[in-house]
Amino acid sequence: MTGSVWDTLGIERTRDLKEIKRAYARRLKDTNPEDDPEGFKILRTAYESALAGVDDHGDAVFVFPTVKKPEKVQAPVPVASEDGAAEPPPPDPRQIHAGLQARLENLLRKRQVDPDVVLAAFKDVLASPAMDLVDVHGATEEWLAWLIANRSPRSDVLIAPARERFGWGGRSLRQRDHHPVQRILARQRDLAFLGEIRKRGAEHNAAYEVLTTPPRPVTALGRLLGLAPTHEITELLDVIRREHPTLISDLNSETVAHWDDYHSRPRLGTWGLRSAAATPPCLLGLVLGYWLLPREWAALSVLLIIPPAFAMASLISVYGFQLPQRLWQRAYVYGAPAWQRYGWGPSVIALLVAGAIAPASPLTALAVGAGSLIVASWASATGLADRSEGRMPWQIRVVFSEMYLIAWWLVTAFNLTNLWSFLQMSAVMVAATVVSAWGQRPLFDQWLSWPGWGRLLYGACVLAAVGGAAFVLYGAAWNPDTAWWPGVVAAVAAPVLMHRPLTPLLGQWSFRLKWYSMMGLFWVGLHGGGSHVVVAGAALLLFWAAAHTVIATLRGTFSRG
Amino acid sequence: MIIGIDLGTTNSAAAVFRDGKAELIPNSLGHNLTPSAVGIDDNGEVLVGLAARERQSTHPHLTATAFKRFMGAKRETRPGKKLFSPEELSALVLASLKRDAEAYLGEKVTEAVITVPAYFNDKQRKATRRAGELAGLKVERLLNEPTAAALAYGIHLLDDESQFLVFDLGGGTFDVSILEIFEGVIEVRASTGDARLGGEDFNDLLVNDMRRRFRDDWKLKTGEEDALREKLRVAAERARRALTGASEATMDVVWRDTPFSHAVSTESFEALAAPLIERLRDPVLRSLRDSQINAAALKEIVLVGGATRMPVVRRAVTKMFGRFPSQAVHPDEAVALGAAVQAGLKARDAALKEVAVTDVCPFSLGVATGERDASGNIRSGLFSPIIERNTTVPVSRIEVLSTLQDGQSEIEVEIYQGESRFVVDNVALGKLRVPIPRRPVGEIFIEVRFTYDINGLLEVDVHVPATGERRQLVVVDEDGPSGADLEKQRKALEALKVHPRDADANRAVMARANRAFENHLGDMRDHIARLISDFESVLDSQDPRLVERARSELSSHLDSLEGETWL
Ligand SMILES: Nc1ncnc2c1ncn2[C@@H]1O[C@H](COP(=O)(O)OP(=O)(O)OP(=O)(O)O)[C@@H](O)[C@H]1O
Ligand SMILES: [Mg+2]
Repeated sequence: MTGSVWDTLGIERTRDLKEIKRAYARRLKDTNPEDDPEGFKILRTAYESALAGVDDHGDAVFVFPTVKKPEKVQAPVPVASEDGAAEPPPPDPRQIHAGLQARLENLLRKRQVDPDVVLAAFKDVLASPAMDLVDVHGATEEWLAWLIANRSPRSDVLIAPARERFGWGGRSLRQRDHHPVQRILARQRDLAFLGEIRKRGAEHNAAYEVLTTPPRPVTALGRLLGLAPTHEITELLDVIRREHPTLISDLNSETVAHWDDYHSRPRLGTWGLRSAAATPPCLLGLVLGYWLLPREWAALSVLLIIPPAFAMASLISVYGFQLPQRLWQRAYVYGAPAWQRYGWGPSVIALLVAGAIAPASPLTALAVGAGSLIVASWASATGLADRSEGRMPWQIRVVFSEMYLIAWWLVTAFNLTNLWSFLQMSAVMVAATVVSAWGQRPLFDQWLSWPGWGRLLYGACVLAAVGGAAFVLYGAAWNPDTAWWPGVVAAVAAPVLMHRPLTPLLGQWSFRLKWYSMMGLFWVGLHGGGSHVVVAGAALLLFWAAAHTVIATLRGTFSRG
Repeated sequence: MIIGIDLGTTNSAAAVFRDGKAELIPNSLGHNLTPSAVGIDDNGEVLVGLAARERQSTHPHLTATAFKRFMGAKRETRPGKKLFSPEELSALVLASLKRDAEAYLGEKVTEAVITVPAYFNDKQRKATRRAGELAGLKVERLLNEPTAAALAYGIHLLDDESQFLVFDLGGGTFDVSILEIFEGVIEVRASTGDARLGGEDFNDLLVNDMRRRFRDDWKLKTGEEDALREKLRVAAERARRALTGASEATMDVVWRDTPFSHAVSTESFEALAAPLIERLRDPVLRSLRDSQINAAALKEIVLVGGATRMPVVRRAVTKMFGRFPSQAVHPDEAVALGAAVQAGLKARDAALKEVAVTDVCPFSLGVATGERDASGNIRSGLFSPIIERNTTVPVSRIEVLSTLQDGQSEIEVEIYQGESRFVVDNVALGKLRVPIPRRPVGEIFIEVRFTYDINGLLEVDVHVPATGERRQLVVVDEDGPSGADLEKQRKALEALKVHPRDADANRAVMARANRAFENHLGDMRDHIARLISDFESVLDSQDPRLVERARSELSSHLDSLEGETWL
């Protein structure tokens, strides 16, 4: 029997409570819970959904006491006086109660109100003798919940005492589904957060200050100097919207609107702007360093590439990834053909293969670098939304986080003998920076969730790429006798690199270590040889990082159980 | 033949539905109520009922009462040499009721509807069911006490359309139910309560008060605590009952041949009882909220349970509702009568053809879940209800749960019952593990289906759509004995020597006289001693007519000494 609600009840569609009940009762006599439990369940479900359609449940609604507006409200009067004979009949406690409720409601309607007065009025309501009556008690509780939920922030002072009195949000489930109460509890949690960010110097405080004052336009110079904490503002708005939604009403609504508009278009962040501003002098320094410094130290000036690399990364992020993504999402989202949506996947593989088999040359380096940027942009614009929003899909991040290894191999193969190789070095740095900007997310758990063969394959690939590259490189260009050294280094490096997504777990240490070791290896590559000590030191660092990784992995695995 | 049994904390009763109405079954003493007391006498024979209760203060170590409070708990009492679990003691009471019913009805009784407090949890219900089986009764149905009371009350109002509240404060449990009657349907809208609140708690107040008052005078030796407590309890019960009709009562006890006396006034008792009275309020509010019925719409407030005779309780109820409660039903008998009505329904009695009854599941049933907080940490041990309390039964509900971690390889479904948001505070009913494919967080989900039937049996079904895997768990008794053990236990109980039924009355009077003897001093004590030896000599004569006369004489002497006995 799986007919409609009305078929089951055996009547025409109706909103008449009486009729529904009568039909249910009639059907119940032959479909009773005792003999036909399954039939009864169907009947009961039908009955309940029929009841839900009845707009007036008659008895089933909780009636708020209709609060009449009395002329003047006095403090609670004792219900019965001792020698009541001659006095006028004692006032009805329900009426007094309604009066007290009206007073509290009116107080909370005002724009400005003294919290102590509100609190006193609230206490009067609770202390009124009519509260002994269960119906008044029940109705008052509902009314208060509704009132407090809808009159924040003025009603905030009442949250704590009301919770205590009615046991809202205690260990018991009794208030579940009770909407106003849920809102009140959320409000209370949010108020705690508000208290935190109100403290001077606390996290989010600067952004909070901005958001509670009237809006001021932001100039490019202001942003360059970091006068407006744009990034923090985004973050705070995000946190509030996601976790403390009731606090939105505590912010200046115009300012919020202003910043929402400001953030609605992707743009360069403060640091992106700054690094862009620093780019010309840095590039100049780089070239000068190459010409003026002695050969051994010239490589140090390579560090000046970092600000331009960062600027470039930001530019690419905003105009290469974020903007295409927005446009893409606005235009297509679901309608686009499959090759557009998923084509970046095969392209990544093609790029990797090409990078690995193409003869090492500056041209290959550039081609691979440019190709990776295009594919990355493609993937991030069209890839499935993943849980870290606004980032590249995790698959591509995993692959790209190893991209710079290939670039490194290509570049070091050239041994940096001229300005051209400097530029190659820059390409490496750019690639590394771009990757590190996106790669710092815990991807390890995702890697874990791959099927077993996928994990193995990926591990083997990384191992082969790094080990093979190092072997070929050093074995050919260096002393054949010591060619096993880099092999060891590579073998140790592989698991670390593979577990790169673990870095947040390690408090960024292995990440930094890896960077130092990379630098060390660059240095070795730069000098086309160098001492074994340097290689050994780099290997040691890498080994240390690897050990950390393994420990953290184990810990992560066991704490999971 | 199916009978209805009210297995109470202090008193039990049986009733039967015949000739179109429910009627109570008197016991061998001709009383409608049988005290829920079990004792072992000097010959090692088991005594049940009034005789056992009367011996309680004189033989505290050989008597067990109020064992219903420990139903479902692993706690054994030792009246005499043998250890008894609460369900075995209850089984002895049930067996005694069964015997009385068989004697009264002249036919074998094999099935019963037994009532339990609405707020009894799953374990307590299972223990009660076991007690029935141990007594050789097939338990056709466990019926919620307030529902039973409402049946007794509502069966006369079937033509009406009304809503009413049953307020049941018994010896050990407190239940509130809200019912609606329409078109011949008796529908329970909500049942709540407190499984540990009743007349006994009011006694405890007086006992503790008196113990404190004479703190230094008792000169207790180790091991005497129970004996004193029992004596004081009897005195407290007497005083409390006296306060129902008078404004003052005294608690009199004789301890080590020293009399202690303490006057209790209505006011002082009320002050003492205030915290307990306060606890009556919350279940009432909760049942109103759950049933979504406005207190003003209730037609009647029906008082059930002996403890509602107390003026403090009546006043509290009047204050809560702003009107006087109804006295339409007999507070001690309504539950048993309602159980008989249910028995009649079960037996398809022609008089009840047009009646349908629906009940609710008074507690929430659900599973343990976890959630991720804002910073990504997992908070586990949260309770998410699947069948919410006061849902009409039988019922099936499905809930979809998903994984909380990447690469999780199995989900453990832990089943709980209770009203706390944290599973630690709730009652664990069982658990179920299902393997799932490893996937990123939230990608795998499972369907958990709870089915709760009218007998309070919960069935849990887990389905993993991704693999088609299904697991099922019928929440059976984990602690309870298996079928064979149960049978063995039943045989053991049956083998106990039970005091012959026809001598019950004599035993009861003797026990009472002995108690009176201990509770008096001087001339009075000598007088009672003489009465006892007189009665004993008549007993030796073995002439039933003489014995009967002597017994009623002794009873009236004792009545004049210490007021009427009570049930
Ligand atoms: N006249 C009276 N005055 C005060 N209390 C009374 C009176 N009569 C009975 N009681 C109390 O009522 C209680 C027994 O009530 P009742 O027989 O309804 O309980 P029960 O059914 O055995 O227990 P429960 O339903 O909780 O399992 C005892 O605690 C007793 O003290
Ligand atoms: Mg009872």
